[in-house]
Amino acid sequence: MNRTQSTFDFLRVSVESKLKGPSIVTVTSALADDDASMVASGLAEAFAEAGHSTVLVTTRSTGTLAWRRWMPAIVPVDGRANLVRASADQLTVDVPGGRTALAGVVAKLRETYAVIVVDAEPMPISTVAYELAREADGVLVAIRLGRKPAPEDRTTMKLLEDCNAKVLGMVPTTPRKNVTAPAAVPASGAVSQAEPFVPHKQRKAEVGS
Amino acid sequence: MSVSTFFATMRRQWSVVTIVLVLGLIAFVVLWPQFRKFTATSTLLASTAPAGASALLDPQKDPTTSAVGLNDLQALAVSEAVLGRVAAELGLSKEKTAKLPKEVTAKPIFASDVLPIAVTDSNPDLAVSIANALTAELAAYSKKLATGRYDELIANLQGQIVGSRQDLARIDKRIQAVSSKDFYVTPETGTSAIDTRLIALQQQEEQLQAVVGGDQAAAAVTAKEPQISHSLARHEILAQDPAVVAQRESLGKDIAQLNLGLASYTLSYPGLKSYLSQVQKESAAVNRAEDESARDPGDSSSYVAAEIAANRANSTLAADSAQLDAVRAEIDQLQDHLTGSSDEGSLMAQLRRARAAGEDVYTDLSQRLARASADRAQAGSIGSVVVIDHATGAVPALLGRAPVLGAAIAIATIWLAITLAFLLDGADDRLRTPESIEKLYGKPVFMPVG
Repeated sequence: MNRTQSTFDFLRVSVESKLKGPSIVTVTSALADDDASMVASGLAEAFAEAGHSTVLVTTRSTGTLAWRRWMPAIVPVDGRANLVRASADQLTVDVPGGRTALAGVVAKLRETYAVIVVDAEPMPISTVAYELAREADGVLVAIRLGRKPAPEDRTTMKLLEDCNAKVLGMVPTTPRKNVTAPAAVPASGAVSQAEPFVPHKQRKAEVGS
Repeated sequence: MSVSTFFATMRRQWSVVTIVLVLGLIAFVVLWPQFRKFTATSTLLASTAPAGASALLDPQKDPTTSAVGLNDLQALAVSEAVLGRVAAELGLSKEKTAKLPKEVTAKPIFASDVLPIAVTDSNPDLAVSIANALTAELAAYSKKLATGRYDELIANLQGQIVGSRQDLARIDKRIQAVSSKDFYVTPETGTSAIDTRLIALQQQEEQLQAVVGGDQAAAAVTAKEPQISHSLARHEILAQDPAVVAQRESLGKDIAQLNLGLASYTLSYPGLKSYLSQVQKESAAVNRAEDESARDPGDSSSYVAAEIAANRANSTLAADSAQLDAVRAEIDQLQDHLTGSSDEGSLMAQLRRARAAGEDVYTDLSQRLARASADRAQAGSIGSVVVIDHATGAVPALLGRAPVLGAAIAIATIWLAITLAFLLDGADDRLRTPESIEKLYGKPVFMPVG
């Protein structure tokens, strides 16, 4: 177990201790480069490796480094019935139908998975993130170490208070280097189904074999 | 602050720390030649009179006020006046002379009159030379300061005395010129010599008048002496003429015989008459012989003496009269001269007054010069600055040693680097720690991930 895994395990234990039963954990941030995706994917992997039925949901329209790292291929799929396939699935959610549709998605996921980790876009710019924070059992706010405080931080806090979100805590992320361009994600309006989630450790073992 | 926080800060600001350390290294390389200095120390002893010592001195001319104190020497050691002389003595350049005040340190040893003077220079020999020259110059300059005001006063008085002498010489020259034109106008008495001479001549005239009067009286008296002594001279001549004496003795005898005859006889006695007649004839003959003998009174010494006395009196009278005439003539001449020399007299009087005033000034200046010289000697003896220790070698300055300088620069550089690192880190409001995030959001913070 490397240091990154251990820190996510520690994060997973901390989150798990504050939740009861099947839970939705929304990971959001104030700024786009606070690496909420990395936190969400790492946390989802940690839950999955701990034996929890886990699904990772993203509200992003573009891929991030984390997605490229953990999920090299994101395959667009049509139809929400295909959202849940494995112990941890990845999907993007668009909510053209508004809150009702989103509530349906959340309800569906709750029925299937023990842990739903939502990789939400920054709160100040995403209504979906706002709604998922409201629906979540706990919210983690990723914040990148080394950056300067921004007005969006204050906005994020206010939005979280407005939606009565249960903020579990802040997750500092280390500064990133050599960030490459994000990969394209499915077009708006579709619910994408990715490849089955393969935990990092398992994937490394497969590559090694 | 924990050690980990310290090193975390250093790690974040590693670029600043590195730059400062490199600059420190460069500073050492650049500064080392400049800090390679040597210090030579020479020591002075400044024994100045205490304030109480001036009580015995003239309060108006207290020489202790001119004495140079220890504090004065400190300032003098770095003054342009003293350092300029040192630079001139050692032939230092203008640039070096301008730097000298910064290279000289004069600080007295606590509670003593000892003043070490340290000179720092990159050349140890030059440092020694400057230190020794500076202390020697300080000693000389302090003495000059102590006696300086008297020197100026003395020089001024000497100049005034010379001027006064020249003024007197000019006055004497003019007096001499006036005096040479007129015998009676002298530098000492002016025209009053004429008056004096006149008075003397008038007194002499009066005396001569009295003498001439006496001479005239004496001449009148002595003029009668020959006449008076004429009969006496006859008797003297006759008494000294043996023939006459014999005739008179014979006549006397005859007369005595006759008288005897007459006493015994009458004229009728025979032969008495003839005898009487003979006596008469004989008497007539004696008278003739006497007249003949006494015809020249010059044969009488008394008469001659009377004549001589008369002549002498006359000659004396004539001489005194002539002298009186001469004196009167001189009086007349002097009176004419006095009348004609009034201008020279007033000029001479003016010159004499000017000379008297000049002499007063000269005397006063001489006395003041004497007092100033005495005061100068007194002032020079009250305060003294002596060199008690000459610089014989130069030792490297504290920062002139490479290890010391290196350590100093290293300490300064490290301190500066740490300070700058913390300042920059403190000024940076970026979210570097979980604490800063917790402070910003007010929520618990998990362990950093990624």
